[in-house]
Amino acid sequence: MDSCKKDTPAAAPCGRYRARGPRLGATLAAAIALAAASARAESGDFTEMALEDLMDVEITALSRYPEDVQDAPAAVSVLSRSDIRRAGATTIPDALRLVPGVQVAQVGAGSWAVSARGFNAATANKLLVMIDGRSIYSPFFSGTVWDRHDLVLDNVERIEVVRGPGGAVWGANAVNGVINIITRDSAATDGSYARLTSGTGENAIAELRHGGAIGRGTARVSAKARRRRGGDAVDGRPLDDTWTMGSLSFRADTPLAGGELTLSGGARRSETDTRVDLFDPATAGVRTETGSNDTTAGHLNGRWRYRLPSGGRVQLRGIYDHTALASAFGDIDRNRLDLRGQHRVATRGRHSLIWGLRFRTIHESVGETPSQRMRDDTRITTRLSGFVQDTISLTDRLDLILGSKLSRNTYTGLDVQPNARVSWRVAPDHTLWGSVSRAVRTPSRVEVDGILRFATNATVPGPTGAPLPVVPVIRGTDDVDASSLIAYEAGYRGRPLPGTRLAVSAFHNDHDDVIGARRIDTQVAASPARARFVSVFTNNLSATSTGVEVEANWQATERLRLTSSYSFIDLDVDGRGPTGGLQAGAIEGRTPDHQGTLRSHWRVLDDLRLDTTLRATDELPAAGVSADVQLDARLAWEVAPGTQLELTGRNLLDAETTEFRTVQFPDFGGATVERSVFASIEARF
Amino acid sequence: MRCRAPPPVRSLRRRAAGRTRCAAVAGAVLAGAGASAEAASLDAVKAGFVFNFTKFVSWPAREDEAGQVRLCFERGSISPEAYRELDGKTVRGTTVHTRTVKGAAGELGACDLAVFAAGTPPAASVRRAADRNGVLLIGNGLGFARGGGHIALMRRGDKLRFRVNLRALRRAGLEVRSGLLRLAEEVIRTGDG
Repeated sequence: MDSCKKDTPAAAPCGRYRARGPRLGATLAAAIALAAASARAESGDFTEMALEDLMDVEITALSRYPEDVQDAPAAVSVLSRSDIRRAGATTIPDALRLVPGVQVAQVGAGSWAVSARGFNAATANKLLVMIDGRSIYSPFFSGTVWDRHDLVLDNVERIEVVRGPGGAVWGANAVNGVINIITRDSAATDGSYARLTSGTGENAIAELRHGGAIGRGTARVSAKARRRRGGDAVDGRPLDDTWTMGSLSFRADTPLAGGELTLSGGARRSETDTRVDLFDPATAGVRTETGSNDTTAGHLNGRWRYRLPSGGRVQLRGIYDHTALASAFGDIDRNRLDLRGQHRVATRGRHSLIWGLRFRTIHESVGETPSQRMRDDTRITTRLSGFVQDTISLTDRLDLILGSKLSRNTYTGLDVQPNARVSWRVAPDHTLWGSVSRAVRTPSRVEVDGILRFATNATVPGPTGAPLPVVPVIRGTDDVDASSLIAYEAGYRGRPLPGTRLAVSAFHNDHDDVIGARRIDTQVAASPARARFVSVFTNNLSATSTGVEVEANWQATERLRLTSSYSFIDLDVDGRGPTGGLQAGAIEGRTPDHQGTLRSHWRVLDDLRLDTTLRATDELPAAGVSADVQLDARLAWEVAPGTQLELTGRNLLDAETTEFRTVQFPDFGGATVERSVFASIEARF
Repeated sequence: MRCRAPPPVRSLRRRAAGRTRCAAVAGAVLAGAGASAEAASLDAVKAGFVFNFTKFVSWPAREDEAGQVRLCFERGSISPEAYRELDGKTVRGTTVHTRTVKGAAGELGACDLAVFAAGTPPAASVRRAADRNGVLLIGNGLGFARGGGHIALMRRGDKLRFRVNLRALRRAGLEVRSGLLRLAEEVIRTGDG
């Protein structure tokens, strides 16, 4: 707890020691007494609480409070810095497990399959992920490679997860949701910080940070290095799966030209070991190669905000990033430039308008290997888009939000993504909302340009009767169109009972023109002799999904809070063509029908906290993964002001579990997840 | 029912032992379980925030009114029952004094800190009075902070957060310790102030 740092005035009571009221102990019997303690939590006691604890208090009757953070008419979950810490998460995907409707499956020491509302795969491509507005998905296969974006988690202010299409404001590809990781202002991270973690699994993590004033503003520099060992291969073969990474980053916030400039950037290197089955050109069969995916990346992100005399606000952003990946499948070298501006017009009458423009260009070179090549090694793609959104106050309780995005991209031309939302404050503590939106996912480069060759051990009898190795080949074509989605959503957010909070959202999605593969030809080729099963990427799949997501919390006593989440999804995929049905089954069977978490946060003593998370996931029949229940627990003890010791256990219920199996290209392995126990020491000084 | 708190003790074990005794005394009352949620009223928590802000802000030295920090609450900002809990508390050797004001610029000369009711930016006359007299302006909403108020409280879900307009605060001759900025949701360096 920071409230008892050296900068607290000496004469004032340090928040931990209170002059009145019982401070209840750690014994189990005290659990009953906790209830008694809460009985005398009358108004006076809050004046003795430390600031950090006050920020944790859930307040009743807050709806009448003049609101600035508008209740979004959407299925939004926010993970605060404290939520992330208390879950014992050491990576962003681990923290995302707490959000209903988001599927997270670890497939390797540094690899995860993360998706929202179905369609999970290691190359899950319907979720837009951003850090401070910088998109971190790889346009090569339109998915997020998580290992290369590992941040100092103490630098994260919050993670906002919007399930459902955020199409109107953010980029295309936000078909099933948007995750925005927001980092803290550098003024909030001044001073020095160090955190060391070590244990089984998490072999070592070292995080360092220093911040302070610079000119008229503030800045910080952070460094992180980690090494993590994964489990064995899901098929039982031994696997030496290790993830190592190192990064250096900075952030500066300063007034500039009458506005505020935030500049951030960083450089990092990440290596994950892989063992992949590649196409062997000599035998047309399988060659197993152990190697690694090595990423070197750097970025610069500048944002300038300015308040207009009329009351409106302007924001300009420029982002440049460079990524170089060396892997067994091939090398990718990519440079990306993203420029955007938006203008929030001062409210006029009932209307609050916001509009923006964005220009993005990507220069990407892909090196050829026997497993893949692009029709052109190097390609430059550009996208120009604009959006407009109007929030109309129909009455003082009813808001209507209309918006649309228009974008033009290299692959598929013009896309329109309109949406309409309604937010209705039915009663002071209850809000209902509904929305209809259209979102679009543009094809990835692989789906348009790529020629992929897979390795199998299968054979078919050839023309002479001798068995020929089967080589599946998939080609991208210019005919591939964007896939689209119409989403119907509705939800409730409010406080049904004192001390509780509930958010429920329901959705029905109609996915059209989902990209799959269709077999067009079977050829016999020579040197080496083989049977080529040629398919093309095509929009031969469609899907509907219906589901519900629930989040609830209950401040049971002053020191104990319970949080739970649950999601259900019924995903129905249809495929046209000879293999369409198989592909559809593979997608459906990798989405769990049910998921849930139950968390408890217990402030045992003023300086001792115990947090536990119980996680349950339904089976993934197409991946051969059975239903699973897992338990994480974390004990944190503030030994001295600014210094904290933690003991965390993850996946405590099983020595080893399989969370996913990938059969897609590229195959990021597929390793089990092991039970891990680790200790951390953290100091702020 | 209250238990006297044990004196601050570093050893976890001794502290736990002291509290167990206390817990045994308080043990039977289960019915109180629901009461805490009820009692977390907005005004009580806001009063807690305001008191904490006084611990992190330092005012320019003043010859008159030494030994006192004067908190003024505009009618409608926080209920008197909530803020009167602060009367008589000490902050860095000075004693807290609370009173109700109408919120006009003219009254600010007699205040070290003023809490406003509305969410609109502070009037220019109020900002000038704050700059002249070194008054910490606390209000609600982003508009308050961006419009020259010093600290604005706002809602995020069911919890309160706050933002600091550092430039406006420094223009009034005040300084704020880094510990407060660390917890602020946003630190504003520009805008009116």
